[in-house]
Amino acid sequence: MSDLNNVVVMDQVANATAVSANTAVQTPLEHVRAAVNAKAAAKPTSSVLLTEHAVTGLLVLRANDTRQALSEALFQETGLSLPETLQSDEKGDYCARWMTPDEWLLSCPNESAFNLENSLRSAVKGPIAVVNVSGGYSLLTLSGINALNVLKKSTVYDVSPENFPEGKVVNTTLAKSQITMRALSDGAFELVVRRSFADYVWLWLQRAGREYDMHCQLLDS
Amino acid sequence: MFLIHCPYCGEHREEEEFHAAGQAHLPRPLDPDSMTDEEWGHFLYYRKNPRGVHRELWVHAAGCRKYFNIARNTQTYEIYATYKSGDTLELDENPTVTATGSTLNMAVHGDAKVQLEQGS
Repeated sequence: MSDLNNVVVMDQVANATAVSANTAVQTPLEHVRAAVNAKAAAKPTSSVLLTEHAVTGLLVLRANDTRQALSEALFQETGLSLPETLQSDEKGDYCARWMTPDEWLLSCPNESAFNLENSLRSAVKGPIAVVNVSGGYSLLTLSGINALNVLKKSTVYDVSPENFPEGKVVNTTLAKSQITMRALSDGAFELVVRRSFADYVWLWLQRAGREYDMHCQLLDS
Repeated sequence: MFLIHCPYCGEHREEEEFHAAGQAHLPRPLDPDSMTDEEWGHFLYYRKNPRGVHRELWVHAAGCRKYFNIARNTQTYEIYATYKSGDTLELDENPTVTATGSTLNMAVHGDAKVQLEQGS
Protein backbone atom coordinates (compact mmCIF):
# COMPACT_ATOMS: atom_id res chain seq x y z
CA MET A 1 0.00 0.00 0.00
CA SER A 2 2.76 2.37 0.88
CA ASP A 3 4.83 1.69 -2.22
CA LEU A 4 3.99 4.71 -4.31
CA ASN A 5 6.89 4.29 -6.71
CA ASN A 6 5.01 1.91 -8.95
CA VAL A 7 1.79 3.85 -9.33
CA VAL A 8 0.84 7.05 -11.05
CA VAL A 9 0.31 9.72 -8.42
CA MET A 10 -2.32 12.37 -9.01
CA ASP A 11 -0.51 15.36 -7.60
CA GLN A 12 -2.19 18.32 -9.26
CA VAL A 13 -2.46 20.01 -5.90
CA ALA A 14 0.87 18.83 -4.54
CA ASN A 15 2.40 22.21 -5.12
CA ALA A 16 -0.67 24.13 -4.07
CA THR A 17 1.11 27.36 -3.26
CA ALA A 18 2.63 27.51 -6.72
CA VAL A 19 -0.74 26.74 -8.28
CA SER A 20 -2.62 29.40 -6.36
CA ALA A 21 0.05 31.97 -7.15
CA ASN A 22 -0.65 31.62 -10.84
CA THR A 23 -4.31 30.72 -11.14
CA ALA A 24 -6.90 31.00 -8.40
CA VAL A 25 -8.44 27.68 -7.42
CA GLN A 26 -12.13 28.07 -8.14
CA THR A 27 -15.06 26.67 -6.22
CA PRO A 28 -18.08 25.14 -7.95
CA LEU A 29 -20.00 28.39 -7.40
CA GLU A 30 -17.43 30.78 -8.85
CA HIS A 31 -19.90 31.71 -11.61
CA VAL A 32 -22.28 33.37 -9.13
CA ARG A 33 -19.57 35.62 -7.66
CA ALA A 34 -20.44 38.64 -9.81
CA ALA A 35 -24.12 38.38 -8.93
CA VAL A 36 -23.36 38.03 -5.20
CA ASN A 37 -20.99 41.00 -5.24
CA ALA A 38 -23.54 43.13 -7.07
CA LYS A 39 -25.99 42.72 -4.20
CA ALA A 40 -25.72 44.36 -0.83
CA ALA A 41 -22.97 42.96 1.35
CA ALA A 42 -23.94 40.69 4.22
CA LYS A 43 -25.17 42.75 7.14
CA PRO A 44 -25.09 41.84 10.80
CA THR A 45 -28.84 42.36 10.73
CA SER A 46 -29.55 39.65 8.18
CA SER A 47 -31.30 36.79 9.90
CA VAL A 48 -29.84 34.13 7.64
CA LEU A 49 -26.55 33.98 5.81
CA LEU A 50 -25.53 31.50 3.11
CA THR A 51 -21.78 31.10 2.69
CA GLU A 52 -19.77 29.11 0.22
CA HIS A 53 -16.33 28.32 1.58
CA ALA A 54 -13.12 28.49 -0.40
CA VAL A 55 -11.87 25.24 -1.89
CA THR A 56 -11.45 22.79 0.98
CA GLY A 57 -9.45 19.58 0.97
CA LEU A 58 -11.81 16.61 1.19
CA LEU A 59 -10.70 13.01 1.65
CA VAL A 60 -12.93 9.95 1.59
CA LEU A 61 -11.60 7.40 4.08
CA ARG A 62 -12.75 3.80 3.98
CA ALA A 63 -11.77 1.00 6.31
CA ASN A 64 -13.44 -2.11 7.65
CA ASP A 65 -11.21 -4.50 9.62
CA THR A 66 -8.47 -1.86 9.49
CA ARG A 67 -10.64 0.74 11.18
CA GLN A 68 -8.60 0.83 14.38
CA ALA A 69 -5.32 1.30 12.50
CA LEU A 70 -6.83 4.06 10.37
CA SER A 71 -8.24 5.77 13.43
CA GLU A 72 -4.82 5.76 15.08
CA ALA A 73 -3.14 7.07 11.94
CA LEU A 74 -5.73 9.82 11.68
CA PHE A 75 -5.16 10.74 15.31
CA GLN A 76 -1.42 10.96 14.71
CA GLU A 77 -1.88 13.26 11.74
CA THR A 78 -4.79 15.47 12.76
CA GLY A 79 -5.72 14.75 16.38
CA LEU A 80 -9.12 13.47 15.24
CA SER A 81 -10.59 10.05 15.82
CA LEU A 82 -12.99 8.28 13.47
CA PRO A 83 -16.45 9.28 14.70
CA GLU A 84 -19.22 6.83 15.56
CA THR A 85 -22.57 6.52 13.80
CA LEU A 86 -24.01 9.90 12.72
CA GLN A 87 -21.30 11.82 14.59
CA SER A 88 -18.42 14.09 13.64
CA ASP A 89 -15.12 15.07 15.19
CA GLU A 90 -13.75 18.56 14.61
CA LYS A 91 -10.45 20.10 15.58
CA GLY A 92 -9.25 23.36 14.08
CA ASP A 93 -9.38 23.19 10.30
CA TYR A 94 -9.93 19.44 10.34
CA CYS A 95 -13.24 17.64 10.59
CA ALA A 96 -14.13 13.96 10.18
CA ARG A 97 -17.73 13.03 9.39
CA TRP A 98 -19.38 9.61 9.64
CA MET A 99 -20.87 8.70 6.26
CA THR A 100 -21.61 4.98 6.51
CA PRO A 101 -20.31 2.21 8.83
CA ASP A 102 -17.07 1.91 6.88
CA GLU A 103 -16.68 5.39 5.38
CA TRP A 104 -15.78 8.86 6.66
CA LEU A 105 -15.41 12.25 5.00
CA LEU A 106 -12.44 14.23 6.21
CA SER A 107 -12.08 17.94 5.48
CA CYS A 108 -8.76 19.72 5.80
CA PRO A 109 -6.99 22.80 4.42
CA ASN A 110 -6.61 22.40 0.66
CA GLU A 111 -2.82 22.75 0.83
CA SER A 112 -2.44 19.84 3.23
CA ALA A 113 -4.80 17.41 1.48
CA PHE A 114 -2.17 15.78 -0.70
CA ASN A 115 0.33 15.21 2.10
CA LEU A 116 -2.36 13.99 4.48
CA GLU A 117 -3.65 11.57 1.86
CA ASN A 118 -0.21 10.06 1.39
CA SER A 119 0.70 9.88 5.04
CA LEU A 120 -2.58 8.18 5.97
CA ARG A 121 -2.15 5.69 3.17
CA SER A 122 1.39 4.81 4.13
CA ALA A 123 0.64 4.69 7.87
CA VAL A 124 -1.87 1.85 7.64
CA LYS A 125 -0.90 -1.68 6.70
CA GLY A 126 -3.86 -3.46 5.18
CA PRO A 127 -6.82 -2.63 2.99
CA ILE A 128 -7.98 0.95 3.35
CA ALA A 129 -9.05 3.54 0.79
CA VAL A 130 -8.07 7.18 0.89
CA VAL A 131 -9.46 9.18 -2.02
CA ASN A 132 -8.96 12.89 -2.57
CA VAL A 133 -12.32 14.31 -3.67
CA SER A 134 -11.49 17.97 -3.01
CA GLY A 135 -12.74 19.19 -6.38
CA GLY A 136 -15.95 17.21 -6.25
CA TYR A 137 -17.94 19.05 -3.62
CA SER A 138 -19.05 22.49 -2.57
CA LEU A 139 -18.97 23.34 1.13
CA LEU A 140 -21.79 25.64 2.26
CA THR A 141 -22.83 26.95 5.64
CA LEU A 142 -26.23 28.29 6.52
CA SER A 143 -26.16 30.47 9.65
CA GLY A 144 -28.34 32.94 11.51
CA ILE A 145 -31.52 32.70 13.51
CA ASN A 146 -33.60 31.69 10.49
CA ALA A 147 -31.17 29.09 9.14
CA LEU A 148 -33.33 26.39 10.73
CA ASN A 149 -36.44 27.71 9.00
CA VAL A 150 -34.76 27.75 5.60
CA LEU A 151 -33.56 24.19 6.11
CA LYS A 152 -36.96 23.01 7.33
CA LYS A 153 -38.44 23.99 3.99
CA SER A 154 -35.75 22.16 2.08
CA THR A 155 -35.12 18.77 3.60
CA VAL A 156 -37.18 15.78 4.72
CA TYR A 157 -34.94 15.23 7.75
CA ASP A 158 -36.05 16.47 11.16
CA VAL A 159 -33.48 19.21 11.77
CA SER A 160 -34.89 20.47 15.06
CA PRO A 161 -32.18 20.81 17.74
CA GLU A 162 -33.59 17.92 19.79
CA ASN A 163 -33.12 15.52 16.89
CA PHE A 164 -30.17 17.20 15.19
CA PRO A 165 -27.83 18.52 17.91
CA GLU A 166 -24.46 20.14 17.31
CA GLY A 167 -21.93 17.75 15.83
CA LYS A 168 -24.44 15.32 14.32
CA VAL A 169 -24.02 14.40 10.66
CA VAL A 170 -26.67 12.97 8.37
CA ASN A 171 -26.79 12.06 4.73
CA THR A 172 -30.20 12.91 3.41
CA THR A 173 -31.96 14.79 0.65
CA LEU A 174 -32.17 18.54 0.22
CA ALA A 175 -34.82 19.42 -2.35
CA LYS A 176 -34.05 16.89 -5.09
CA SER A 177 -30.37 16.63 -4.30
CA GLN A 178 -28.46 14.29 -2.01
CA ILE A 179 -26.62 16.15 0.73
CA THR A 180 -24.41 15.70 3.81
CA MET A 181 -25.60 17.96 6.64
CA ARG A 182 -23.81 18.72 9.88
CA ALA A 183 -25.17 20.78 12.75
CA LEU A 184 -22.74 23.45 13.91
CA SER A 185 -22.78 25.65 16.99
CA ASP A 186 -25.15 28.62 17.30
CA GLY A 187 -27.83 27.00 15.14
CA ALA A 188 -25.74 27.00 11.98
CA PHE A 189 -25.56 24.13 9.52
CA GLU A 190 -22.88 22.86 7.19
CA LEU A 191 -23.94 21.42 3.84
CA VAL A 192 -21.63 19.36 1.66
CA VAL A 193 -23.10 19.07 -1.80
CA ARG A 194 -21.83 17.49 -4.98
CA ARG A 195 -20.25 19.87 -7.45
CA SER A 196 -22.83 19.07 -10.11
CA PHE A 197 -25.66 19.93 -7.71
CA ALA A 198 -24.01 23.01 -6.18
CA ASP A 199 -25.73 25.51 -8.45
CA TYR A 200 -29.12 23.84 -8.02
CA VAL A 201 -28.82 23.84 -4.22
CA TRP A 202 -27.56 27.43 -4.23
CA LEU A 203 -30.55 28.60 -6.26
CA TRP A 204 -32.96 26.55 -4.16
CA LEU A 205 -31.66 28.08 -0.94
CA GLN A 206 -31.85 31.58 -2.45
CA ARG A 207 -35.52 31.03 -3.11
CA ALA A 208 -36.13 29.40 0.27
CA GLY A 209 -34.34 32.25 2.06
CA ARG A 210 -36.02 35.10 0.23
CA GLU A 211 -38.74 35.56 2.83
CA TYR A 212 -36.07 35.90 5.54
CA ASP A 213 -34.03 38.43 3.56
CA MET A 214 -31.15 36.03 3.21
CA HIS A 215 -27.68 37.29 2.38
CA CYS A 216 -25.01 35.36 0.51
CA GLN A 217 -21.25 35.42 0.38
CA LEU A 218 -18.42 33.52 -1.27
CA LEU A 219 -15.27 33.24 0.81
CA ASP A 220 -11.89 33.79 -0.83
CA SER A 221 -9.16 31.26 -0.34
CA MET B 1 -44.84 8.95 2.95
CA PHE B 2 -43.74 6.82 5.85
CA LEU B 3 -40.67 6.27 7.98
CA ILE B 4 -38.34 3.32 7.58
CA HIS B 5 -35.78 2.31 10.20
CA CYS B 6 -32.27 2.02 8.78
CA PRO B 7 -30.38 -0.60 10.82
CA TYR B 8 -27.04 0.99 9.91
CA CYS B 9 -27.93 4.63 10.71
CA GLY B 10 -29.95 3.43 13.69
CA GLU B 11 -32.88 5.79 13.21
CA HIS B 12 -36.10 6.20 11.30
CA ARG B 13 -35.79 8.03 8.00
CA GLU B 14 -38.18 9.18 5.30
CA GLU B 15 -39.12 6.69 2.64
CA GLU B 16 -37.76 9.18 0.08
CA GLU B 17 -34.19 8.25 1.08
CA PHE B 18 -34.70 4.56 0.26
CA HIS B 19 -35.04 2.36 -2.78
CA ALA B 20 -36.45 -1.14 -2.95
CA ALA B 21 -34.07 -3.68 -4.46
CA GLY B 22 -36.19 -6.80 -4.86
CA GLN B 23 -36.67 -10.03 -2.99
CA ALA B 24 -34.25 -10.78 -0.16
CA HIS B 25 -32.46 -13.99 0.82
CA LEU B 26 -32.00 -15.42 -2.68
CA PRO B 27 -29.69 -18.41 -2.35
CA ARG B 28 -26.84 -18.45 -4.83
CA PRO B 29 -26.30 -21.62 -6.87
CA LEU B 30 -23.95 -23.99 -5.09
CA ASP B 31 -22.88 -25.71 -8.29
CA PRO B 32 -23.40 -23.21 -11.12
CA ASP B 33 -21.56 -25.30 -13.73
CA SER B 34 -24.08 -28.10 -13.69
CA MET B 35 -27.27 -26.06 -13.70
CA THR B 36 -29.78 -26.37 -16.52
CA ASP B 37 -31.08 -23.35 -18.44
CA GLU B 38 -34.38 -23.71 -16.66
CA GLU B 39 -32.70 -23.60 -13.26
CA TRP B 40 -30.73 -20.52 -14.29
CA GLY B 41 -33.92 -18.92 -15.52
CA HIS B 42 -35.59 -19.51 -12.20
CA PHE B 43 -32.60 -18.19 -10.28
CA LEU B 44 -32.30 -15.02 -12.35
CA TYR B 45 -35.87 -14.07 -13.10
CA TYR B 46 -38.42 -15.89 -10.96
CA ARG B 47 -39.47 -13.96 -7.88
CA LYS B 48 -42.18 -14.30 -5.29
CA ASN B 49 -45.03 -11.83 -5.38
CA PRO B 50 -46.98 -12.70 -2.25
CA ARG B 51 -50.02 -11.03 -0.80
CA GLY B 52 -49.03 -10.68 2.83
CA VAL B 53 -45.67 -11.08 4.53
CA HIS B 54 -42.68 -10.59 2.24
CA ARG B 55 -38.92 -10.25 2.73
CA GLU B 56 -37.32 -7.56 0.63
CA LEU B 57 -33.92 -6.02 0.12
CA TRP B 58 -33.87 -2.24 0.42
CA VAL B 59 -31.05 0.27 0.09
CA HIS B 60 -30.64 3.53 2.03
CA ALA B 61 -29.76 5.25 -1.23
CA ALA B 62 -29.58 8.88 -0.12
CA GLY B 63 -28.25 8.04 3.35
CA CYS B 64 -25.59 5.51 4.27
CA ARG B 65 -25.94 3.62 0.95
CA LYS B 66 -26.11 0.23 2.69
CA TYR B 67 -28.39 -2.64 1.71
CA PHE B 68 -30.55 -4.20 4.40
CA ASN B 69 -33.57 -6.49 4.76
CA ILE B 70 -37.17 -5.62 5.44
CA ALA B 71 -39.96 -7.94 6.48
CA ARG B 72 -43.16 -6.23 5.48
CA ASN B 73 -46.75 -6.86 4.54
CA THR B 74 -47.49 -6.16 0.87
CA GLN B 75 -51.19 -5.89 1.61
CA THR B 76 -51.18 -3.45 4.52
CA TYR B 77 -47.72 -1.84 3.92
CA GLU B 78 -46.95 -2.58 7.55
CA ILE B 79 -43.21 -3.03 8.20
CA TYR B 80 -42.56 -5.76 10.78
CA ALA B 81 -38.80 -5.38 11.09
CA THR B 82 -35.66 -4.16 9.36
CA TYR B 83 -32.40 -6.03 9.85
CA LYS B 84 -28.87 -5.96 8.51
CA SER B 85 -27.84 -8.15 5.64
CA GLY B 86 -26.26 -11.29 7.08
CA ASP B 87 -28.71 -11.42 9.97
CA THR B 88 -31.72 -13.68 9.95
CA LEU B 89 -35.23 -13.11 11.17
CA GLU B 90 -37.61 -15.88 12.12
CA LEU B 91 -41.12 -14.80 11.40
CA ASP B 92 -44.54 -16.36 11.70
CA GLU B 93 -45.70 -16.05 8.11
CA ASN B 94 -49.40 -15.94 8.96
CA PRO B 95 -50.03 -12.84 11.03
CA THR B 96 -53.42 -11.88 12.35
CA VAL B 97 -54.06 -8.57 10.66
CA THR B 98 -56.22 -6.06 12.50
CA ALA B 99 -57.06 -2.42 11.90
CA THR B 100 -54.35 -1.19 14.26
CA GLY B 101 -51.59 -3.55 13.10
CA SER B 102 -50.94 -7.24 12.98
CA THR B 103 -49.96 -9.81 15.54
CA LEU B 104 -47.21 -12.25 14.75
CA ASN B 105 -44.25 -13.97 16.33
CA MET B 106 -40.68 -12.92 15.53
CA ALA B 107 -37.25 -14.07 16.64
CA VAL B 108 -34.03 -12.45 15.59
CA HIS B 109 -30.65 -14.07 15.01
CA GLY B 110 -27.47 -12.12 14.35
CA ASP B 111 -24.99 -9.79 15.93
CA ALA B 112 -26.91 -6.67 15.14
CA LYS B 113 -29.98 -5.51 16.94
CA VAL B 114 -33.09 -5.64 14.84
CA GLN B 115 -35.58 -2.86 15.07
CA LEU B 116 -38.94 -4.41 15.67
CA GLU B 117 -41.62 -2.10 14.44
CA GLN B 118 -44.20 -3.52 16.83
CA GLY B 119 -44.43 -5.90 19.74
CA SER B 120 -44.42 -9.54 18.75
